[in-house]
Amino acid sequence: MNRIRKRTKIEIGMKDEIASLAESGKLNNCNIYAMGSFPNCKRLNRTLAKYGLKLTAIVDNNISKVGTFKIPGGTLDIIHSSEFFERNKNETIVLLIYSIRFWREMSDQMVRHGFSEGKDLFVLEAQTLDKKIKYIRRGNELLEGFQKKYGKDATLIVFHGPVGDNFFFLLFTKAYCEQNNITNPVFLGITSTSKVIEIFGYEPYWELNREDIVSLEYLYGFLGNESNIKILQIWEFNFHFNRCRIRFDRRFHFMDTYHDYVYRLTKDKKPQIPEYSADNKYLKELFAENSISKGKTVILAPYAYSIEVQPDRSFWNILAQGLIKKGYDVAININPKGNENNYIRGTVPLSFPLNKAVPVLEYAGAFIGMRSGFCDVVSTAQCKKIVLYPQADLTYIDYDRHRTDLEFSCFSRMGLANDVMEMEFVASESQDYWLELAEKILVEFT
Amino acid sequence: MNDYLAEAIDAIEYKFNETDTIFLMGRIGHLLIIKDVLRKKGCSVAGIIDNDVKKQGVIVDGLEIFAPDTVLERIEKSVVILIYSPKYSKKMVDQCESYGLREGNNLFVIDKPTLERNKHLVYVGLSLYETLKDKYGESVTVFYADCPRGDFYLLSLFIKKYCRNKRILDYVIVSHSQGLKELAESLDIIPFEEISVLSSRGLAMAWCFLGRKDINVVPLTIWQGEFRFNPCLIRQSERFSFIDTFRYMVFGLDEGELPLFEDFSDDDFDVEEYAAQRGLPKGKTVIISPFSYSLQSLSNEKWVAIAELIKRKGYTVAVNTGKMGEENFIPETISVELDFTKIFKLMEYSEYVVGMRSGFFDITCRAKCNRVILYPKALTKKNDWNSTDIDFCSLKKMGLCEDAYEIETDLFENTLESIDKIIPPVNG
Repeated sequence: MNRIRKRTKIEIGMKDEIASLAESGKLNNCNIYAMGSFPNCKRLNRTLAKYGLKLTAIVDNNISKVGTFKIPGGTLDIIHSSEFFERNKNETIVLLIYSIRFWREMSDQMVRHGFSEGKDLFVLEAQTLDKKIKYIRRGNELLEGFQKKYGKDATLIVFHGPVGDNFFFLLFTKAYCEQNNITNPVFLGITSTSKVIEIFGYEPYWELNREDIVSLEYLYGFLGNESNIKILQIWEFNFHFNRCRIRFDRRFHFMDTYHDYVYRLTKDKKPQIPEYSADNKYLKELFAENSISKGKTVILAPYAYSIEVQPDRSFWNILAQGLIKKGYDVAININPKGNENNYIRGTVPLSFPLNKAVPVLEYAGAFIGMRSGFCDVVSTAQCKKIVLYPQADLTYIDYDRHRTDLEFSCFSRMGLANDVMEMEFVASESQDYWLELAEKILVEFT
Repeated sequence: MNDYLAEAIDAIEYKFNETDTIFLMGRIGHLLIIKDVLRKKGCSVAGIIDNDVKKQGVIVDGLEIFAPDTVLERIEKSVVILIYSPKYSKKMVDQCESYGLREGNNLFVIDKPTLERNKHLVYVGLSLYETLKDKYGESVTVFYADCPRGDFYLLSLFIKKYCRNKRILDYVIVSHSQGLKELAESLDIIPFEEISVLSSRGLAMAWCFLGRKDINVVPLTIWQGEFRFNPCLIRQSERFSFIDTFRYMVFGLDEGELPLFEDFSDDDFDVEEYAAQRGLPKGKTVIISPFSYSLQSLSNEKWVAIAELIKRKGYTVAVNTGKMGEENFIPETISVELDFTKIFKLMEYSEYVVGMRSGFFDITCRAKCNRVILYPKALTKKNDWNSTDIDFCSLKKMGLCEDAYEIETDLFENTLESIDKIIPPVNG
């Protein structure tokens, strides 16, 4: 694995910024509110807890979001901005804005209502002009470095994003290079890329840190196509100009994003599905070590980071117990280096590298998971596969964000696999609902 | 444009001299300007290199167009290749280098994006932005539109709805493109400021660097070459037409949003009198509109043949030369030089309007007349930047009109045959 030496960080990062604020005392003796996405606010709350602090509530301009948001150990209130302004009359408040997309609009709104940046208003991880210039300079250094090493005609193919996106980029990389006569590609990615690129074996490959990748994205944004940089995740928020609304239109599905939007491939170009060799020795040992059986194991994958709405944890427990009763061994796929833990009773935590995922699932016999990047990688595995999607309101599509609904990303429509049972669920507080959903799945297992 | 290109040529790190044998690559209109700039420096251009076989051998303004092999296979010491193409310069450089040329040695790109050049443009753009704010107010939204007139018309169909949705009360449209100011005034999309090429490039660059958060500029034509990056390739999918580019990509409107057509025809224009004065009889007039700037038109000879066919059927043929100073090359036809507010009326007066797909047909799409629109044959390899295929920009598919005969031109004999079938003889 090629890596670049670490450089001085451009971003301080939310955690360090909170540490600095906590140390300075600016967060003491006040009620702390936040604006930003729910995942961001959840992360923020977790970070504040390290200093004995917590969020009082999340502020949102969208009245339909008012309510409560589940967090570990409780809930967080979401209040409308009008209520926030009312509270500001009687409380000592500090507002933390943590939103890559909307920080400027939020900040401007709060300044208009009397907040003062640096005093009672702090924007975390804001993209300042100074940072942009640093990113561009860093990107240029990187570009020159790679050109010096590989030649002036080297094309830097820059990967970014989660595992699933990287997998899809890789399905068409070879076809793209052939179609565009790219004879000297250099592949650059982040950790999630590294996990997947080894399946395809493309070289030369360099793993960069996030800031280096962002530097190249900013450089491309500044110089354009003539920079010999091919940015794959062109919908990144760093590209404020390319939040293409069209690709989420209902006429398209997720595979079109890669085939047409990223790569502009001719119709005849198909995805290059990797071949996996079954390392029987590895598989036997893995299953023996974990006391699970070949052909009678169901691997569960409940973790999915792109999806905001998730099934209640009780669902996974009900499902696992049902499968065990039917005589199956149940394993839960977890990332040992992440925060994932096994909360499902009676199951075995199972970790394996992505390049072994398809053989592992085929050896196991069945897979049930939340729609995620992992599902993308294993979509062609020859085993029973059941994938869950949150039900979406397709009358309102957030074209600036992402689509994770079944219509957009189901495997059959994407042309990846026709043997996946794809089901939708709704966010429900009813235990009966989750019981019913689990039973619908259990019927598929004899 | 002259000044802009002159400055860009001066910025090249090469001392041009009169013994250089210079060849140019790029869009012909721009190359002719470059030729003049070089002439003022005492240098002459030996020719143009173009991959398009249809253009090779043609002489334009005294310059012959050569196939790449003819020039690049035998490069002499004094030969210099200059490229100017915001969209394709990289591909052109790659092509030249495959013949052994080296950029910076005997191969140069005019106006190549570099950190310094782009930084300068950002400052230029910001300076313009500040000037516009001083003139129109701090809260002004600047719409940037660098495009042909047809595209501008299509923008006009949705811009008012967009402004209503976004509650934009103060705006100004800026562009360096020719002919837009008059059109903007006809369509009541004002105020409109004509700016220089340099200012235009600067504003685009400032927006690329800063984004909407720091500069209240909305680029309306983001697929144009000036933006130099992925112009959203999916929009040319067979599931979309050109109008979707405006509805979705530019303005972010929903599927249900219909274009807002305004009647901009000149009610005071006495078309009957005009026609009588020009000798265009009612019921027996056909207008031909042969000029097209965005895509390759038919050769002059073919248009003459079409005109002859129509005349043989008993019609009087008028040729729309518009207000862009085009020359009518079709003998025994009557030139009409009307702006859009009036040509509209003349089209409704005439029996048929026959022409190459162009912005003219976008702008006049609501005229009630019989149209015969010719499209170039669809390319097997799609262009990254735009498409002129009938599937993508058919007026009918775009929902602009329902009564057009739209023909994809392949063999000219077939095109003539189609026109022959569509247009009956006078009184036939």
